Amino acid sequence: MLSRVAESIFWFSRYLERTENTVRFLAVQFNLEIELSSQMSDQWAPLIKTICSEELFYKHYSSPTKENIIQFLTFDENNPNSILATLNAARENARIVRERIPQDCWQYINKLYLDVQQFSTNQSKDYLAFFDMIKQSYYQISGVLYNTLPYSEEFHFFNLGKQLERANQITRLLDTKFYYLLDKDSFVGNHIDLIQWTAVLHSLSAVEVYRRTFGTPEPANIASFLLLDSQFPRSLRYCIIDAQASLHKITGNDLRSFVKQVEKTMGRLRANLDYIEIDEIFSFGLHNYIDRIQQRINTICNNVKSTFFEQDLQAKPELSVSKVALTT
Amino acid sequence: MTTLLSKYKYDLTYDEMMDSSANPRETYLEYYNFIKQLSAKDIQEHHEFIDQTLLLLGITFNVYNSKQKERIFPLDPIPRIINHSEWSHIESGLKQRIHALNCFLSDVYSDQRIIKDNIIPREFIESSSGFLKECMGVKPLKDRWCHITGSDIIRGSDGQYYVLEDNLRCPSGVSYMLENREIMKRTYPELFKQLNVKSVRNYPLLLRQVCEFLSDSKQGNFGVLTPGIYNSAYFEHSFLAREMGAELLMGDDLVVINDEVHMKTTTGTERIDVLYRRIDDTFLDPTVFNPDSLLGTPGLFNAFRKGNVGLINAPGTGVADDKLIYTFVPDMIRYYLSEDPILPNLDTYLCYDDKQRQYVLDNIEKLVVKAVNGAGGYDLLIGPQSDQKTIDLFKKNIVKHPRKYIAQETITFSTSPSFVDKQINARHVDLRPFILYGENIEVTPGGLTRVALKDGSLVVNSSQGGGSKDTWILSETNQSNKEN
Repeated sequence: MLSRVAESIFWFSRYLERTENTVRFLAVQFNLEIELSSQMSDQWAPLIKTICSEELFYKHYSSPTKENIIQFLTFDENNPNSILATLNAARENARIVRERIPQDCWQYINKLYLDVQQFSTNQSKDYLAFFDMIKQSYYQISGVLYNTLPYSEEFHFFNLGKQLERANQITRLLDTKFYYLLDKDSFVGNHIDLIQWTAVLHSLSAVEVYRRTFGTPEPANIASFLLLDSQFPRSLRYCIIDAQASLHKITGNDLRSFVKQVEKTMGRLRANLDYIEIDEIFSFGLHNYIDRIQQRINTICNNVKSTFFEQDLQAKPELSVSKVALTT
Repeated sequence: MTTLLSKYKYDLTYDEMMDSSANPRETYLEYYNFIKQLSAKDIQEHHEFIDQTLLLLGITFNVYNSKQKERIFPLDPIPRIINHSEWSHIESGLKQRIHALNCFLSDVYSDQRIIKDNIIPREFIESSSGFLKECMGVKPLKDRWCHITGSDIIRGSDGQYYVLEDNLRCPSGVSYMLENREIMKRTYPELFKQLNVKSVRNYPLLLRQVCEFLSDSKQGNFGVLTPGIYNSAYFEHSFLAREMGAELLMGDDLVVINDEVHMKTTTGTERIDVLYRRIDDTFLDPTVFNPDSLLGTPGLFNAFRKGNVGLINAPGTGVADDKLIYTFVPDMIRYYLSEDPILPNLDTYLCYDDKQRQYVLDNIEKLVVKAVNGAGGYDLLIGPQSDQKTIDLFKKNIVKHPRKYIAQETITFSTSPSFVDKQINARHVDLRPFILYGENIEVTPGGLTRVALKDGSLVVNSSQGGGSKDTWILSETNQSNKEN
């Protein structure tokens, strides 16, 4: 597969996943606000940190009001992680490879983009319906891809992008939520706490599964479930297990060891998540741990780039074909 | 009762649907009876459905220097219909023409017999910007130069078809022909069955077969080389790559190793056999042509010259695309094929020739003046529709650069009923059929009918407010070739 095509599929997938995550986080916040409007005041500010950076926000806005934050996270073109911006990036990447992806997939992402643009110009905005629309389109697009993409490189670059992006989003969400929720008071398990922590699970569609496994929301169990569960599709460990599987499908190398650097960094992260205990994470410090995980995900992404997308062939035109094939 | 059609005014010139005694032509009879029953509201709805579908499918072209970056190329809901016998005439005329043009290209880059035999003056050829001296002595695979040609044809007020120009430099528009057909089939499914419209669906497959023929390989690696997503025809490039089962490539995706073209993949490199390139000749290879080109691939031309890669079309075909050389196509047909031309040219004045230039300057108000390398409706003067300032500017340019211009009598091309301003109006149309030359010459039964949507306008280009129509070629009998 062409390097450029692989790269575009990878980024198409990442931006699509990022868009959906932003929508989830926003939708949960809307619901939370409806339930807790009398008890909570500044619930919106943490979202800026989860999705983008505070620095960028304050460059364009003076105060973190709900209206400003929503505008910043949905339609603001100054924010490269606003819904409109990530969706546009997903669509542009899909456009680059539109001859390689299923036609329906291109049409759905194109329609979604046009609909979102249209919505941004509406006078009165029903945001919850808007978020629903994007979520539905996301499942529609994923549905087409998972049912019609051949399970070859196309699929695995798509999946690799999706899982790495999702892993990154999960760590961001946990980091800010734990920071804000545990920082204020210690967890006492009161009414507001329960709603707040349930909302964290909601953000990753994890409420029902969590409840069946652990019952009442408690920070340590939530962290354990969302970081280390091996079967839940929106747990960090599952994302890395699945990303690793796709990576080895792409390279064709045995899953039990590594040949390329990217396989080594991925395997190392996988091993850590497989065997670490949640108590160890808390004694190390959740924030520090997540920080380290994010660095490792970042390294993996850089390795993916140098291994598959940016092989330097142009610089050595004197190499014969067989030699070029060996160096990769 | 006044129907939509009873208000149809078409007396400007030859009308495709109505004859001079206000009766529908036989070709259009069935369609006429169909559209007769429709109200303006019906057609308006069809029109909106079509627009919406184009937008959702992302069938758009990019406009340079415009705020609204992506635009749809409007598709008129009323088709242009051509009957079987007229089409046969066009088809045989085009086959003859492409055959002769390929002979000319092969000759002009090798023995140059046509110059030595005093058919075309050497200076005309060597002064053409499409003539690439780098191609002298090159033998492209299977001696094919113009694999894809889109000739522009018009019908004059006398009812005759004329060739207006031949586009041999990567003509665009074929994806619109194919997608227009898909949308029209969704809009009017029953009409296709009733009228027995010939299918255009095979075009991408035939194009693939050209690649297979050139490389003697059914499973070769074929690519469509595009300048990238910001090119106005990107949609078409990606459409054709998908339909042909070819890779869509940019110059950066390729690397030339040992004079062979390879694409960079996730696992190394893979050799490319044939490239359908949608990049202009002089941008193909910065080491041979424009050194600033970022679109091409260093070493590509050498690989082509050594016969290690097929390029569709071959570099250098632009010389036959030159509007001055165009005037010699009938002579080429007589010279190479010893046949009389089936499709005539329009009478053309060469500004290069002193006498003819004087005629052009004296009569410029009546004439159409074109730059010999112009395309897209730019650098074009329609005398009767231009103001004095523009005319003076063209006069000045003609005197300064006589080689750069030709002139033709202003011919009013035929009109076709078109849905504009919520009613059916007569609008000028041309026709661009697509001709493929692989093992044999194949003319796809259809083409892109472009329509000048502005009242009275003769400019049909998409960049100048033109639209398109689906072109329906009727089968000989009602039994064969059902569209499916």
